[in-house]
Amino acid sequence: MKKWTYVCLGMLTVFVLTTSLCLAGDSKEFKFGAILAMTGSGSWYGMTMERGINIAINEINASGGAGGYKFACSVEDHKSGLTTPAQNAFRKLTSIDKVSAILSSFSAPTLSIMAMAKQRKVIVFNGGASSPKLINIPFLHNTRMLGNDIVPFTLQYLWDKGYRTMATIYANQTAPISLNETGVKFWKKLGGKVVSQQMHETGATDFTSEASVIKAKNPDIIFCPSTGLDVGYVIKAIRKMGIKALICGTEHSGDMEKVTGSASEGYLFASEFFDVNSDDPWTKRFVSTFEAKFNVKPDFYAANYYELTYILKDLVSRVVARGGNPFDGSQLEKAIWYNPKFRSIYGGYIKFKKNGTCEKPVVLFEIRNGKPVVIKKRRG
Amino acid sequence: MRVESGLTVEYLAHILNLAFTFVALTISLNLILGYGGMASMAHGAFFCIGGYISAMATMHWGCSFFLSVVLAVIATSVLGGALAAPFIRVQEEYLILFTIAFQMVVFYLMLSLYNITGGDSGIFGVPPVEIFGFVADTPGKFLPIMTVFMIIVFYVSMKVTNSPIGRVLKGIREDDMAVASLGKNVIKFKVIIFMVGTGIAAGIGGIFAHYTEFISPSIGNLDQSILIIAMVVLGGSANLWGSALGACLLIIIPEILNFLPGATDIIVPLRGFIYGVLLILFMRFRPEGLLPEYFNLKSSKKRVLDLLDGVPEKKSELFRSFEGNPGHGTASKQGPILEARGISKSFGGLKAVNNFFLELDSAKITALVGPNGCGKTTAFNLITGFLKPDNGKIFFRGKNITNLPAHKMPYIGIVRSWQDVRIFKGMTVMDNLLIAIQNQSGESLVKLFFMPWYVKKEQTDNVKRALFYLDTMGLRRKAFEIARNLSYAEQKLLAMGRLLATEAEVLLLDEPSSGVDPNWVENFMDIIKELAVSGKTICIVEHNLEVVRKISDIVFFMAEGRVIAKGSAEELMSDPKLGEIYFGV
Amino acid sequence: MGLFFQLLARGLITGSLYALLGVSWGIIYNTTRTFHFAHGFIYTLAAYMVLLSVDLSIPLLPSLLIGLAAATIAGCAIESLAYYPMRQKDASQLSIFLTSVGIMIAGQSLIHLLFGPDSRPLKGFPDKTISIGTITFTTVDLLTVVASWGVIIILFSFLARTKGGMKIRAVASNPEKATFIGINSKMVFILVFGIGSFILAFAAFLSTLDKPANPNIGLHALLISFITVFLGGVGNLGGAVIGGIILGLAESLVIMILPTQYKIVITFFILFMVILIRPEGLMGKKQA
Repeated sequence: MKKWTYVCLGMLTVFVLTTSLCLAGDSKEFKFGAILAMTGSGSWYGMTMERGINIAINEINASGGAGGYKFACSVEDHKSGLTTPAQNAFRKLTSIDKVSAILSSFSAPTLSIMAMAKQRKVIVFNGGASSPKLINIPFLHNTRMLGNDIVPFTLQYLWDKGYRTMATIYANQTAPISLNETGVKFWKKLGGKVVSQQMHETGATDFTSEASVIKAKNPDIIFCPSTGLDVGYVIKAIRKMGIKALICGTEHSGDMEKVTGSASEGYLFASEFFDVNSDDPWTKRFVSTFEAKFNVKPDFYAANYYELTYILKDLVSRVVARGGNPFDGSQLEKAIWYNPKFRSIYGGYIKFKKNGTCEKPVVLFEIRNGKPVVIKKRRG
Repeated sequence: MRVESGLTVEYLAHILNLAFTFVALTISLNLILGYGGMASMAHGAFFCIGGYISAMATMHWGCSFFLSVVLAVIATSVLGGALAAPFIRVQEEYLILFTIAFQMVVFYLMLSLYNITGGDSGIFGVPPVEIFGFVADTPGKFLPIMTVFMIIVFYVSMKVTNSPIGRVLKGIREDDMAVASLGKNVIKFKVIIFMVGTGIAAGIGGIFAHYTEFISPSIGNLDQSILIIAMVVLGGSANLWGSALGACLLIIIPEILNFLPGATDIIVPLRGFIYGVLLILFMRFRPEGLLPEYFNLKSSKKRVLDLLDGVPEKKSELFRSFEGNPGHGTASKQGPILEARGISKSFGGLKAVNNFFLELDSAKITALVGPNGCGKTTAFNLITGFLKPDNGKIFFRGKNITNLPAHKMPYIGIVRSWQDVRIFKGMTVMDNLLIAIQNQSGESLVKLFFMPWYVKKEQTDNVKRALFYLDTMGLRRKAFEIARNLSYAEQKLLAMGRLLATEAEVLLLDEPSSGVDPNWVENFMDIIKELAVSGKTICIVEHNLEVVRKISDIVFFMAEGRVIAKGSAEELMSDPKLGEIYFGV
Repeated sequence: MGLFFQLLARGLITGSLYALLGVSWGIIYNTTRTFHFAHGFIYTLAAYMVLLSVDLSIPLLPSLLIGLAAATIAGCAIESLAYYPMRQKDASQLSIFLTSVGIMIAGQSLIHLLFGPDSRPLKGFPDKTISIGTITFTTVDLLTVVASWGVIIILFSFLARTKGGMKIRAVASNPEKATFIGINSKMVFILVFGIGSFILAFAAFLSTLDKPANPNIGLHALLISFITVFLGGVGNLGGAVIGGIILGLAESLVIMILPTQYKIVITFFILFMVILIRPEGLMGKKQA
């Protein structure tokens, strides 16, 4: 018994020491946190978001930092949407890394940390999640266009094309559930018919039975607001079943084609439009840096998080210029409203709204030859 | 402006809160797994259910925090009790799978009912812990509360496991049939410990939900259940300190890993890898866990040692029962007090026992003999409730006891011994005797907690009682020896003493003298004769015909499942036909 | 009605693969009564070995052989290095189970560390859709059905006709008696782990042709494996086959009665009830 008491005390000491060591950080460093999907079926998102953040940090530090501070980011993992790891990550980021700002992702993890964020005055930005539930939450700002913007846009387009019946299939997950609700409500409001709604398990890969049901109902269009690879598997199963109906959704992760192959042809989704071929010098620089480093062009997720890092840079500079403390999230929050317009990597400006959302150019994409092609623009 | 150092304290407090939560959870599973011997992979599910009940109670039904936890404990332990019965009926090899299936059903059901449970993302906004107006909305404020809860769980568990209940459970772990033959309802005990374990888990779930102000189904998924089992097994099953150690290690080590510099995307699989390797190494090389099984009725040892000083060894007052009565069973009634008629039992196509009959006269020694395989032990099992007869009836003092379950037999006054002795090898001699005493209030959960003074007094009396029978068998100097270390003959004496301690009047002895050398056989014969003299009714199954001739009053001869002769030993042994059957000529 | 036939066909296709998974685990469990959780890791390993070798420009068929070899070696290694020594020391079923869990977790994490978390498709087999009446399926589906049943038939012939097969059946029905008559059960155990892992690798290959692999595919395969065995009958390999078909059909057809999100709940609930009422499974027999 005694031996083990010493072992435990020893471990506790090590733990305390390590903790304090990590606390003795560079005081001229502004560290912010990021809670991303680093593992699990959504890990592609985490990977690309982190890339965007890192490129931004390198550029910012190379040009002298912001407000006299060097930038650094501590990345944590919510395991593709789990809330307990997200909350643990939040605690660690605020207690150990002492961040005053966090870049979050995925709807459920973001929602799960907002109560604590409000209490500790930590400002949270979301550049990836799209659930309509993310509106009007204090200390939360979404730079991703949310479902209640993009879904009606997509469905209106399809209605105008003459489609009238819709089948939906969506994941048992925060964003897809609320996006499905939004879509169904909107479609019915237009006068359309919803012939079937099916909810599937997140991460499922075999959709042949669900596809069979859809085949029997024979809808004009199929709406699938699932995320990550789920959509890919759904599309694949539908096409394998020989169903020719048009499929639309809200997500297109970069690794979707690994699952669908050429079956993703014709898939429609609306989201913010990140034009990798834009003439904007800032965009061009970002695209070429990204491509040089990672051998692939950046998608809009990487762009969003790159952009968010720059927004943070602006906020820190604003706070320091007024003699404030950037380690106080409420001051960062206030700094937004000195001028809610920020330069956007999408070209032009992004404007923050009081309800926690932003205005961004939204377009409708169609997959052609495995790549998203813009087919319709909407001025946000 | 925030107090910077205060935040680190908050983080450390959070880690401790997490660790203490799991300490309590691990202890609760250890009760079921380590003490109850039931491998439940569904503990996470109960943790989660408790959390949800408690959260809904405070959020929707207007309960206070305390009440919500109590509600969760009661509701979940009732659910646990309802589930325990099928759990127990399932054979051991299927138990792991069965509990996995249950865990999955609960998890996926809760996920599917997302309108109630919030599905994947769970329910936010569970109100923080509030006790007497004190709101614990930060980890630092919650820590003292969690510490208190953990200590309560520890205390309750210690009390239960070091009580007669714990002793019975230990007996069940070793040999549940032997325990049943001593009058304990094995199923009842298993259900009780299962309910206690799941109830505690539920309570902790409720507390945790209010601490994190959040609950979701993934709080209790399969990974969580596996983690808790790993903590129990790593720390050492049937050892509560071990559970505390296991829980702390498996919480704190991953947290330390968190501080390793390195890409975040490898931290998680790296942790997984280390965790898996730890599990493999431990199970392979030290499966008993860090701390050994801890069973210590300290109080009884101390009390006994005190008593030993004052009580001289008494060998002469043999075979009277403890109260000094000349034994029950000096029946005024003549004739058999135990009667079996027309008993049959088939296994598959084989009729093991066919129209068997037996009569035991009060205060007489009846012998049951026959060639190997004729069904003697099966007959014993049928009479004592370990097997259900297909046909026939059994009467004890005129009452029909045909379908009485085995564990009720000692209560009405019938006990049996086992051919393979079946003493509890991991317990001391003293505990082997103590467990045999009937009607112990210490075996009732309610009495243990609500009438502790009464239980304590009764335990003292029981120790005196056990001591008496210890002396009777001449084993006093071995009182605290672990039964495993006794010689074979001493073990048989202990088994006999154990039977006497039940103070039943009818003793059915299955080959009492087998395996011991001739000196000891004499000893046993004397003991049995004295028992009959003092009023006990005895039936022995015997192969040793010398013994049969010397001590039996009447003999029943069995062959191929039926009784083919009945008479005195002389009569039967001089019958050449029986001799042929017996020796298989 | 067309929907019913489509779902039926789907169920039979899936059921064939499930039957294959079932016998791969069943042969191990029936003979050794070890709850081999790490079976899931071997599945993932096999898939990744095939993918790795394809990445190294090795053609599909030899890659399959590499996957088969890797799985078989891993399976035998786990039995001889982990389970056997533990059984010799009289370890409890729970301890062995937890060791298996440890291997599963460590193994899958290792694959994650080495190969990364993203999905990897296996190309090289034509993936065309075929329609017969209202029923649609693909060429991969066809291959799956043919290969699964082929392997199952070969396995059953092996068990029925060869000496090795007889030894396995002897040990499965009564391990003590088998030792008495001179069968080296240690070798038989290793043999069945090898065979089970070999068959599993086939299943992994067929499945990865259809759906990309990622480090977590093993768990689902494992769950299917043991559900089919316990459902269809412990101790009776034919039962595992039946269990696989039933499970495949149930998963596919349940959608006609209940919303699809209850699929998994139903699967486990059936398992729960089966163990409760008839733990040997539908066609099982108890081990002597």
